[in-house]
Amino acid sequence: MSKYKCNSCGGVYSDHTSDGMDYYHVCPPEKVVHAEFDADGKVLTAEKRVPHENPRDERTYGSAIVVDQKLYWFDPDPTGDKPFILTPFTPRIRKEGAGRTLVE
Amino acid sequence: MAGFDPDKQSRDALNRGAGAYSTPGVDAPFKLEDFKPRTSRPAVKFKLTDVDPPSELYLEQTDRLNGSYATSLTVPIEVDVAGRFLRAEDGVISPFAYPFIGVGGRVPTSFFLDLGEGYLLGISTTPRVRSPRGQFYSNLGVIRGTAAGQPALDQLISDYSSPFHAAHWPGGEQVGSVEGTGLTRSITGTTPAAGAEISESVPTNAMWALKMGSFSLTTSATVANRTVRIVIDDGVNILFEAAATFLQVASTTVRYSFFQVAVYSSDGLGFVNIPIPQDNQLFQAWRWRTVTAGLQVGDQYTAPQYNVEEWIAAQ
Repeated sequence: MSKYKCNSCGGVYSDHTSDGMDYYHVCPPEKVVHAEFDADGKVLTAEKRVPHENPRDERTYGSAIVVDQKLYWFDPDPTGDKPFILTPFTPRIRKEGAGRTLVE
Repeated sequence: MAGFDPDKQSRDALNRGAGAYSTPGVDAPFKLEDFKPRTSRPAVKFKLTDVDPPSELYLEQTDRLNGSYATSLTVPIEVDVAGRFLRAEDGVISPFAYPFIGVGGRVPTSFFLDLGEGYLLGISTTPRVRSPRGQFYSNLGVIRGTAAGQPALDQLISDYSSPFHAAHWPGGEQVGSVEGTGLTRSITGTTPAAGAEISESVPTNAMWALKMGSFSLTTSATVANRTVRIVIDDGVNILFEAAATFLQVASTTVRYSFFQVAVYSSDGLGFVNIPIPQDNQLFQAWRWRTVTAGLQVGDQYTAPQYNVEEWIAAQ
């Protein structure tokens, strides 16, 4: 199984879990800003948590429809002019973040 | 038998044809009589012509079948929608089987079937690949109109199915997608970067019951006490947060396990247990994650391995 490194959070994962099903990586919601210590181990700056500024979220979204044996995304028209919009189906994720890199 | 006279029977047998003593010279023709059954007849009679169809579902030209399915199977998959249709125009029973391509990721996918006018005798939806219960859910109904999203005028199928259990009408069960036993899964999560926390999210259109899980934390040489907490949130708000009753020091490796009937415990040999809520249900976008007090830059979590019961919760 190929493994990927998330360029947003640095996590390493596979697109498939150990039970053979798909896995959808989502970055942790917050990053740890680690505490800083002096030479004696005394805390200079305390640890804190900050929101992830550019998280990756590989979860799918939306609805699809089969028309003439072809798959389309089936989305509401934001303008309201049409009842819905059909676009050819390609896998899509919620947030790209900083992308990912194949590591093995 | 009373009155039985074998001699008379013999005389009657001779008293026929040209040699008969009662009608001499006349040879009566042989007459084959219809068979007369002596058994009782069935009480119920069936029509052999102008028979009513054995189905309650008559479809007009404007009626369409609208189905949808959602699956956590890996793509590509094919779904067979098959059945028998009694055509109104000629009374012929026409079998049909339409393969539809499927989308993974629990994306709800719609399709339409126009069968024409006649009686629907039966229909089923079946994925072609192995799928334990909880992995492929479909529904199917009768609509009028051309757009998806029309209300079903007659709901026929709502059930999980597999090659060994087709969701079918008539006779099938109407089961909601989050009812009954779900799919048991063992999931390998993301290995966080050094100094980062574990965070696992429920996929889109899924519902989890988080049963148990385990991960290890190896601490760096930086002197500090680390306290591991398990957090469940709804994507924004924390619903549950429980801390291990154990302080992990520098340069150690400890395996943490969480499960529903656990009690806070540590064996002093590097194994720590943390309880999580019983009968929990996590909806899509909910998370379970760690929040570690005192986490240092060089601290490293392993990828969590955890067990969930999963249902498709397509909306």
